[in-house]
Amino acid sequence: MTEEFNVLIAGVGGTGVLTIAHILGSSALSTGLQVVQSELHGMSQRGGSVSTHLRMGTHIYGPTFPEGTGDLLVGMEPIETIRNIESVRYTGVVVFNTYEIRPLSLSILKKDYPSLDLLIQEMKQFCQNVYSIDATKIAKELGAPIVANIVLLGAAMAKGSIPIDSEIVIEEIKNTVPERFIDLNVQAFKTGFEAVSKL
Amino acid sequence: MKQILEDDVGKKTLLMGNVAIVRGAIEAGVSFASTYPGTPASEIGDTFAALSSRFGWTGYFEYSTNEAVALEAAAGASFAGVRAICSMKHVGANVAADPLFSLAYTGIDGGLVVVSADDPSCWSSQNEQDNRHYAVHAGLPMLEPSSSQDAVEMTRSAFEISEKTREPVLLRTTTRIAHTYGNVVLGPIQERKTPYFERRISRVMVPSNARPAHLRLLENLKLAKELSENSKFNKTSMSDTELGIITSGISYAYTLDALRWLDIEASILKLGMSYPLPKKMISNFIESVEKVLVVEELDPWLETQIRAIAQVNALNTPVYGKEQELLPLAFELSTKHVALALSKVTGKPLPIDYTMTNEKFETAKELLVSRPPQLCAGCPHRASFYAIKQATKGQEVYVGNDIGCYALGIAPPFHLGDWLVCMGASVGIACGTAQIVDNPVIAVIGDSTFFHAGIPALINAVQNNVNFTLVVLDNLTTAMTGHQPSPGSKLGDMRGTAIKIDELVRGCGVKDIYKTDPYKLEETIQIFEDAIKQDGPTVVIARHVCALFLDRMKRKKGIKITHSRVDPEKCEGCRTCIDEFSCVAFVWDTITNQMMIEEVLCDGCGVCINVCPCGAIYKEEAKQ
Repeated sequence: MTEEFNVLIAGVGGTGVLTIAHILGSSALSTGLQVVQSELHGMSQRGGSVSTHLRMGTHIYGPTFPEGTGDLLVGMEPIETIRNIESVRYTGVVVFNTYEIRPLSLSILKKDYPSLDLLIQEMKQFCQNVYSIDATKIAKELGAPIVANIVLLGAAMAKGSIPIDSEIVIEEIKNTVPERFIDLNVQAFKTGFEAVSKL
Repeated sequence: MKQILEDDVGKKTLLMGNVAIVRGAIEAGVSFASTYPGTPASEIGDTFAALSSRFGWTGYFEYSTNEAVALEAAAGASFAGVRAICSMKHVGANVAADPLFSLAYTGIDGGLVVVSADDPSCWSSQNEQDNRHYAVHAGLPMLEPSSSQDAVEMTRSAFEISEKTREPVLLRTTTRIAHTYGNVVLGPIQERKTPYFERRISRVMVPSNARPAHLRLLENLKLAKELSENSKFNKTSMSDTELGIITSGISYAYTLDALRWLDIEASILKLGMSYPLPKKMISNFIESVEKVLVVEELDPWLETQIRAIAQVNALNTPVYGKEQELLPLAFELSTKHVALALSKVTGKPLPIDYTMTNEKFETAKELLVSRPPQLCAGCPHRASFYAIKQATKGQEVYVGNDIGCYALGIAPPFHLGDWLVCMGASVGIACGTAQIVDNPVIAVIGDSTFFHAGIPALINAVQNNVNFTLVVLDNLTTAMTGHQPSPGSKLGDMRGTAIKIDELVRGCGVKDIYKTDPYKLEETIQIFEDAIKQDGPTVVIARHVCALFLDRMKRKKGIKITHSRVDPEKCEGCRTCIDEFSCVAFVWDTITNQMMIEEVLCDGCGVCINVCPCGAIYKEEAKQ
């Protein structure tokens, strides 16, 4: 069994970062692993950058892990992914949503959002396994942009080497979301999973 | 949430530290819980609120007006013989300090647990004070959990320690305990105590009773020390006699991770009951190793006492810590901090050379655009701030800001905040500044903060005829900490009566009171102009419900939000909206040099329609 598996999930407040952390955390608990998941609330949360450390394994103590020891970085937004790129080890995995949420500061400074190619090139300086997916576009095609986080969770399960069975994660999704949205969310998970499986 | 009340002994679950504290209190048969919301303590109160309003918990819970009142109310329940818990953030303990110190003298009846959630690194606070000092200062036994499991067990035991020592017990957490989920095994739930109010003169702190009360406190602390020497929460694990580590709280977790990361063996003394310190246990530990490293966040609180214990026992074992600058005095620790300290003490290098990665990150940094916290789209505070700026154009105005979401008004483009100190200080400090300068002085304060600490300062302003304008930003809720009810509104659960701010302000003796809805920009600007010109204390109540709260209600009820849009035919690219109103939903198109509104973010408040000088912003028609 895995001694420790470290995940950092990053994004913009209000885009479902904590929801996927909670689903993965509960799934790890069901798998029989120790789980530690650390988050910040209050002032730091209002529309700003958000990140959460999720750790699972047989020997887990601290709420966070040192930079460069992360096994997986899940990014809900490109700039927020690069902001946390130091967290992951070179042989780890990055899975991120390419959909841009432009910070207001760009509009104030009349600046453009950095190009995706440049961002990926920079990410590869830190991690050799970088997978991108337009999770928001897929979610919109499913009729609900709000499930972009679940699409990304599916992609992370496909490529992230997370020590949890996908079926368990699907069960936790069913336990977490309101009943009438179960089918939509399970479909979002599977679509995200399959979208990157081909890569 | 339901599982917090279930008598399901041995069930394994995942609980946030704050929720684990609630479970511990429920297991201890707590009858009374009170709080004033504050990050990182808020979820303790919110969990009790949910349990009592939605899950049939029959104990009593209240959101109190402030932390002093919350603690007094909890003490009142304890005097009536039942177990009570009162939670607050670290700076809330300053507000509650007055009753706290004297409750150590009066002693308690039903177990009384005071939770102080500290915030190292100031994630959501104006300072990062180390509240372990309160244990020594007031004379309170203290427990410090290192995990969610500890939080359950220590909260449960804290009530017993409180009743044995007859003293309130301090349960001290930090953000990384409060907001971290961890594995928990549920324990059995005890019966609640039967209320019994025993009349006792020893609770009446007149000088003749206070003197013997102090001696009684010192005796109670002697008993507490014995409990500490034998506490299951203070434990030694010996594996190496060369290096010994003494630690507590979250630092214990970082220490275990750091030892494994560096592949080092060390003996560890974990102090879960950290006041009074188990001096014999510590002395024996120091004696059994060749050198000691003290690992703790913020102040060298343990370290100073440990050095004293070594001195009293004539031990020459070297003690390492903050004195040698091996660990920082400011901000929270991490596994890396502890590993660096261990590396210096043992000579073993870190597994990662961080100088290399730091260099690499320099180029990545250029791609980063900062994304600081923002006032939400539709936030009525943004409209109020815009109106204040318009009403005071060309004037040098001094503005006191306060604790709440509206503190974000200090950021561009508003820059409304020449001071922000503590709850209510916008008003108190204005009282002094306005007596010295001739410029207009304004204090902005939210409804909940006004009730908490603004009222005495307003009375002071009336009594001393201070020439200033108080702006009460009334969004009908305590928004920043998660929409807890505010005394002025009926949103959320309230047993009693909502207090009308205008009537309250009139009762304080203010003659010139203005009321406005900040969404009505033109009217609000005029009101600010009038209020600021007027001599003496004037009050503007800018009332509009929190946009985030309203949006959530709309979403729940399936009410469609009608967005605002920009007509590209009319937008001249003058940037007035972005430069003066700066809504988070605004996006500048660098190709057309025009403004756009991001539909996903826009909450459809429509205030920007009146900001645009080109008349280019319009409300999309509600789709049928």
